Amino acid sequence: MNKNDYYLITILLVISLSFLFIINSNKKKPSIAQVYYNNKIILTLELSKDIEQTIYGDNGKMILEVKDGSIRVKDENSKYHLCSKQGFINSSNDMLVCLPNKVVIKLVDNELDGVVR
Amino acid sequence: MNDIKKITMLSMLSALAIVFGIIDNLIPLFNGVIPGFKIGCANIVIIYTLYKLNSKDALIVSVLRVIILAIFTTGILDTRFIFSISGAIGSFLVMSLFKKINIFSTIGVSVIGSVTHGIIQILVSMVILNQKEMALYIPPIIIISIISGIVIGQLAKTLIDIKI
Repeated sequence: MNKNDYYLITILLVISLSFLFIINSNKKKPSIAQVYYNNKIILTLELSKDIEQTIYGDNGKMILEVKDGSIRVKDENSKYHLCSKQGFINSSNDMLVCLPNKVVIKLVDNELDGVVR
Repeated sequence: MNDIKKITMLSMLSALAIVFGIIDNLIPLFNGVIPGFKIGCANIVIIYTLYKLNSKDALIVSVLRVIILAIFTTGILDTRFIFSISGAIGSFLVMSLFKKINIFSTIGVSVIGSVTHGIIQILVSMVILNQKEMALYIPPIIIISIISGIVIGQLAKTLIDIKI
């Protein structure tokens, strides 16, 4: 590693860490999970109610689980199972992305917020 | 280097890049932080080609790897192919540019390549998935890409330093 490498790494780290700090200080507690399939909302789930919901993506059945204000993809059909391995998410900064199934799950504060955005 | 030697070299490097690409897919490290994050082992081969041969060959190896891997996994008509090819070409362009300018060592080039790869993939997903919030992943992906970029750059440097 030469001197310029250190500069590059330091600059990148400072920029990204400060943005990360800003993002985390604006974090809100989400109350609703929006489920997108093919870029359209197909389902909204209340995070306050524990529930298991089955939806259908490109590869067939997917089971979503809401528990203690968090949501995860419990079971799905894809090659590497990236979105079920991701586990529970509970912050508006996080998303569950299942590319093979064309499904995206996003957490928002309330219904209105999601529509405005 | 004569033609046959070059063809053999390029096909070996492409094969190696494909194997590393498969290994990448099998290691879901940091997946809890960034969905679908990969370490980028295949970049070892790309950087090696960039330094040992030239930019053009590195582009050939990189694009061949993406296309052949896609044929065996998702198919080239899948949206995931757009993710891979845009990330691969974008990071290649930046890496070959910075290699030419010659202000960074292999590690700097690797770091900037992996950071570019991550950012491009997020930009592509913001467009394809139509989710602006994806931009929130850019800071964490930069941080993780720096770590993996350093490791990959160091490994590539070790390989480049070996005299054949």
